[in-house]
Amino acid sequence: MSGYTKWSRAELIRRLEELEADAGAVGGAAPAAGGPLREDTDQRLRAILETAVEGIITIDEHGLIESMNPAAERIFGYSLEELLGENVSVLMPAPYREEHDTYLANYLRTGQKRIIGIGRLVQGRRRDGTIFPLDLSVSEVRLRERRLFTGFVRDASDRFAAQEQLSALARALEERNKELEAIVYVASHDLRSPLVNIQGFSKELSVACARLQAKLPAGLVRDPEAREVLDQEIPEALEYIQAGVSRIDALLSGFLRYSRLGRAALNLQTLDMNAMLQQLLHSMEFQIQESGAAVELGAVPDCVGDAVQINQVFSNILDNGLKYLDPRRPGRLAISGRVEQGQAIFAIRDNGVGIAPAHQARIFEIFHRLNPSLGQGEGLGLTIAQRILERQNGRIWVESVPGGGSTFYVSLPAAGRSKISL
Amino acid sequence: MNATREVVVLVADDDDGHARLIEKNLVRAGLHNPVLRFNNGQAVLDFLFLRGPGPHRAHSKAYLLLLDIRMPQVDGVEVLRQIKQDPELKKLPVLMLTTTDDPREVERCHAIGCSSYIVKPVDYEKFAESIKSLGLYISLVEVPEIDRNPGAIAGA
Repeated sequence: MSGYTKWSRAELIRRLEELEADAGAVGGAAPAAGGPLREDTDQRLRAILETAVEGIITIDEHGLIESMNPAAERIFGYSLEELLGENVSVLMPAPYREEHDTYLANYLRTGQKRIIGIGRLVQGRRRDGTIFPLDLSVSEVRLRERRLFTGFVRDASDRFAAQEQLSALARALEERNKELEAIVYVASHDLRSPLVNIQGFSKELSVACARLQAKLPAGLVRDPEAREVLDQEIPEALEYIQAGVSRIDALLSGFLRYSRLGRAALNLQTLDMNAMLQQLLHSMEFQIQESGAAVELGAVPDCVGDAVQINQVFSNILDNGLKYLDPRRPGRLAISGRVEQGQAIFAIRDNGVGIAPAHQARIFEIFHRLNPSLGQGEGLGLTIAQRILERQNGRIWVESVPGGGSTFYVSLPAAGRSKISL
Repeated sequence: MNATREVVVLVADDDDGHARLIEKNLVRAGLHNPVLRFNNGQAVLDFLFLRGPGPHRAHSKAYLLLLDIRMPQVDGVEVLRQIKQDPELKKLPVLMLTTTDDPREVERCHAIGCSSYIVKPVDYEKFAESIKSLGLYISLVEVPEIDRNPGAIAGA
C-alpha cells in the first residue's frame, strides 16, 4: 500500500463531509453524519477511485495537486508523494506548462471556460520527460468555501500511434495510386506511337498491293500461286493486322480515359437531374429507337455532382441497358429516384438478360465484358461510372435476376432542398 | 511579302515512321513542298536559331513547322515556348502534331501560341484526313518571312 491510500482516505472523508454538509445547506435530506452508512460510502468511493482505468487528479484553485489515483500515477510515472502539493503544470510540456497558471487565474477571474466541462486531446509529460498524447476532461467541484478541479486522464498514445499509422498508410496508398495512374497514362500514350506506324504502314501496304494488282491484270500473272498471294493472302494478313491494331487502340484509349478521370478537376454543383436525364434520353433517341425499347423517366431528385461526369455515368448505364436487352421480349427501361438519409438514389431498371450472381461483382472490373459478341464496347462503361462516383461521394451497385433483368442503383449526395419526397 | 513563295515544311518528329507517313500523306494531298526533317527538338532549335554546325534556316525562305510533342531531350512544348519567346521567330506558324488529345496539353500549347493542334490518330483514314486538311492549311496560310536581318542572334 502506498502513502496515497492513507492520505486519500483521510482526504476523502474530509471531502465527503464537506459534500454532505453542502447538500444539507441547500436543503436536501442529509443523511445522518457518521455511522455505518458513511463508512460504506467511503469504502466504495475509495474502491472506485483506486480501480478506475482512467487517471483521476484533483487540484485546488492554485493548480496544486491534492490527489491522484493509481491509474494517474501509472500514466505519468510519478507517485503521489512526489507530486502532492506540486503545481499540476509539472505534468505538462512547454508551452502549456508556463501558461497553465494564467489559464487558471483567468478562469477564476472571468469565469471563461477553456477546458472545464469539455474533453480534449492534450499533451502530457511523464516523469522521464517523454511527451505523449492525452485525453483530458476537467470538471469543477464547488465546495462551500473553495472549489477544486478534477481531471480525468487517459493515455492516448496507442490510439494516436494507430491513427498515425493509418494516415501514413492512406498517404502511401494515395501516392501509389497516383504513381499507377501516371504509369497507365505514360504507357498508353507511348504505346500509341508505334501503333500509328503499324496501322499507317499496313495501310500503305494495302495501297501498294492494290497498285500492284492494278499493274498486273489477270492476264499477266498466270501463276495461280502468285495470284493467290496477291489477291488473298496479303490482303487477309493486312486485314487481321488492322483489326488487331484497332482493338489495341480502343483499349489504350480506354486506359487513357480512365487515367484522366483521376486527374480531372471536379465542378461540384446542384444538378437538375430531371432536366439532365431528359436531355440525355433525347441525345440517345436514335440508339433507343434502334433497340426498340420503351424508356420511361419518372420523377427524380436533384443531387450534387459534376455535371459532365454524372451525365457520363447515366449514359454508360443506359447504354448497357440497351445493349443487353433480351431479344425474346420487348425491351423496357425505367428510371426512378428517391431520397434516403441525405442521399439521392437513382434506379435504372431494365428487363434485359440479367446478370448471374457470380458475375455481378465482376461487371465493374476494368475491361470486363459480359458478352464480347455484343457490339463495340471496351468493357469500361461501368468501371468508369464507378470511378466517377467514388470521387463524388457516390456509389453504384446492381441487383439482378438472370433472365429477368437488372436494376442499377446510383447514389449521390442529395441537393440541399430536394424537389421530391417519397 | 511574296505569298506565293514556296514554303518549306519542317517536320520535327523523333519517330521515323511517323515522319515518313506525314511526308507520304502530304504528297498524296497534293502538296509538293520541300520537307526538312528533324528527329529531335534540339536540332530544330539549332536550325531556327542559327546555332551549331548543322543546317540553318535561310532568310530568303518561308517556313512552317510541324512539331511533335513527345521527343527526347527538348520536347515539343519547350521548342514551341522558345520559338514564341523570340521576337522574330514567333511569326513562324507552328502546328502541333501529337498522339494525345489530352485537353490539358492542348490548352497548354494554345496558351503558348501554337497555330493549330492536330492529333495523330491511329485510324489511318483520320490521319490522312488530318494531313490533308493540314495541306490545305499550308497552301492557304500566308507564311510570314522571318527576319531578314538576324543581327540580334547572329554569332550565338
